[in-house]
Amino acid sequence: MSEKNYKLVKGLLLLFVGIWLCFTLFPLYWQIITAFKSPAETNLTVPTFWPTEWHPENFVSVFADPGNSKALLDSFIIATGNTLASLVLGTLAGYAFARFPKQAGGENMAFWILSNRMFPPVAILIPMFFLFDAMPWGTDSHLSLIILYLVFNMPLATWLMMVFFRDAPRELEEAAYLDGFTPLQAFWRVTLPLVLPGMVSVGILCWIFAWNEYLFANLFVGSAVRTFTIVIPTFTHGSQTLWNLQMAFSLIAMAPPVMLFIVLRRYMVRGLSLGVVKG
Amino acid sequence: MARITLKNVNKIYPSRFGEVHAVKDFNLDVADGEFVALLGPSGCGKTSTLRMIVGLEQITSGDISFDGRRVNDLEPRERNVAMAFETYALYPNFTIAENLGFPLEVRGLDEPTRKKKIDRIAQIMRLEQILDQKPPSLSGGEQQRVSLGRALIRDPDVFILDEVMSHLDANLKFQMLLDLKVLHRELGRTMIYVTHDQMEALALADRVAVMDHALLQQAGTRNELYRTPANVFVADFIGEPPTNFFEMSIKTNGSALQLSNSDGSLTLSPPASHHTMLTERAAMNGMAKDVIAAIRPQHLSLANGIGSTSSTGSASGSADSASGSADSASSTGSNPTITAQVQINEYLGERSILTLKNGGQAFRALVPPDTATRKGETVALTYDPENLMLFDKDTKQLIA
Ligand SMILES: Nc1ncnc2c1ncn2[C@@H]1O[C@H](COP(=O)(O)OP(=O)(O)OP(=O)(O)O)[C@@H](O)[C@H]1O
Ligand SMILES: [Mg+2]
Repeated sequence: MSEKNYKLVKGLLLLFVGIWLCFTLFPLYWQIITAFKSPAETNLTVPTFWPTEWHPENFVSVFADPGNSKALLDSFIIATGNTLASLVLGTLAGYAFARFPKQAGGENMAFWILSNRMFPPVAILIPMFFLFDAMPWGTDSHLSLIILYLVFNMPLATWLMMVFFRDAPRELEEAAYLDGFTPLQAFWRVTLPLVLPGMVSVGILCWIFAWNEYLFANLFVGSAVRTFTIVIPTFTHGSQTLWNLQMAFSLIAMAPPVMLFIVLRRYMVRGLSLGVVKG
Repeated sequence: MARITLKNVNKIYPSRFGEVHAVKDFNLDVADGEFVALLGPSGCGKTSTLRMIVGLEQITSGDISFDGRRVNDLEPRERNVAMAFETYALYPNFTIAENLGFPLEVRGLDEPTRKKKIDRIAQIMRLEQILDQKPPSLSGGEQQRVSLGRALIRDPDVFILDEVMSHLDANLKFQMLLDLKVLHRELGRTMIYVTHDQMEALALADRVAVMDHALLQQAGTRNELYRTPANVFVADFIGEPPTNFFEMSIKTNGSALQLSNSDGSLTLSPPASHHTMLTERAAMNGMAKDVIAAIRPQHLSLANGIGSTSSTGSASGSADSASGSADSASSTGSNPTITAQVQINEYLGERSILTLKNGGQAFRALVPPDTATRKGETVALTYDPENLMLFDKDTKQLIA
């Protein structure tokens, strides 16, 4: 490619990326500036694109209602509990499908599990409600959502872990058997470390799904337990919405997944490329 | 210490496209402390045999025993064997030192003892410089050495080594072969070494087991394989350059006996000791008359008077008379001859390989490097009839 063409292509690329960024970042920008505005400024007929007056205290007044901080905690408990359960179950099931496909039910069984992830969740909304209502822990508890979200996260975890385990050479385990390890020890010491980056990215995906879930949470929980996703709409009273507080609260709710992503970014990239790059 | 016995061992892999019979009725007895090489072309079932011995693969039928104890149902770790894998199987997130020390760790050896053993094996395998690195950053040859080292660091009853030198350059391979031989002598452990390189097998092993198409063809010492190959495959596979084969039939003429090709342009004289047996075969009906005769290029030498000007016809006539004299007196002075035209004269340093042609039959002879024959020249080659190998044309088994 000539120097001139190269510059042209690079220019077009920058232009495209610029336009794309405007579209994706604008809502975020709007969310941030709104979170710092006064209630009056959020309701102007001609909106301001930069707060005339900064109100960082919005981030404190959000927590005037102690229920709001508890909602973040509830969400955290549910997302983390569900992620751990998904990882444990998905890792074991994925290992079984990868190493003992016949005994585990074969390709069809594995695909059936994945297909559980594909149907529209709303289809099982009502049956699930009655099912959980009959359980000793009821619907309005951490445990109910931790278990319910397994319906979506466990198939994903199982399938992805199966792919990672397939890519982990079987001979490493065999070498470990010969070196004197039991199958369980070989799994722990040799195979699991190999798929750890993959496991971390699966964990992040599960956690983010559970953290963000609204539909089921809205129906299942609400008094003893409240997730932040069902708290966000409560900033609307009648015809009036406290836009600044709502935006401040959602910004706070966005922080954990963003931080999680930044901290585990290295693992995430390695995990997602595990299936692509072969040693 | 262990004597390994394989009795009628079979391995059948189920697969989507039908069954793969990878090992068929395998019988082999490996003595305690013996070094046996398993030699065969790619895909003949060597690795499958090893995997059954170490316990990584279910035995479809038959028995494997260590010191008379049946081990079919024992877990790999209960068999006390060490194996180096064809694919290295190094633990990618451990350093080289950790890889080497891993088998010792699980056996509960303390840190200083482990360190001492790692240093010793690293020295033998020439890995001292890279002990802190991790496997993915090593070259193929280095990984192979680590894998071999990890097998050798233990003190098992049996060592199983699967193609452990395939990625080493010639120089290093030569050195490592020597080291391995010494190590075997020091440890006195039973070793089974898999390779498809006959040079490695013949250099290392007390006995070589030759496999082809899932079948054990022959197990024997270097000399047995070389002198009395059980069948055409072994005769062809062992030896470099490959053995010359001639499709012949037995011709009797009174008391004279010869092997002759279909149009009679080429004749060979079997040793006198086989005459009775061959005469009996010739008397039988059908195919028994047809044999495959083989002679190694090493056993053909140029007769005096290279580049004789005699025509092919008279040359074969002289071969006849020569064979006649060989019959009566098998003294070295009067060996039979074959005449042929030189096709290629390949100079290989310490020797030359002549590719020759007699009618439709091509064959090779190993001659001194200074041989000055040119393409198209007609030469006479002599051989000792005792070096002629004869195989049944149907069964391909050795008959004499
Ligand atoms: N797990 C398996 N499932 C099905 N077929 C197999 C399996 N492992 C090996 N085979 C087949 O069995 C035959 C013998 O394979 P094996 O690996 O024992 O050969 P090999 O002598 O070690 O060859 P190489 O020199 O290439 O390593 C081959 O045809 C191979 O395709
Ligand atoms: Mg092999």
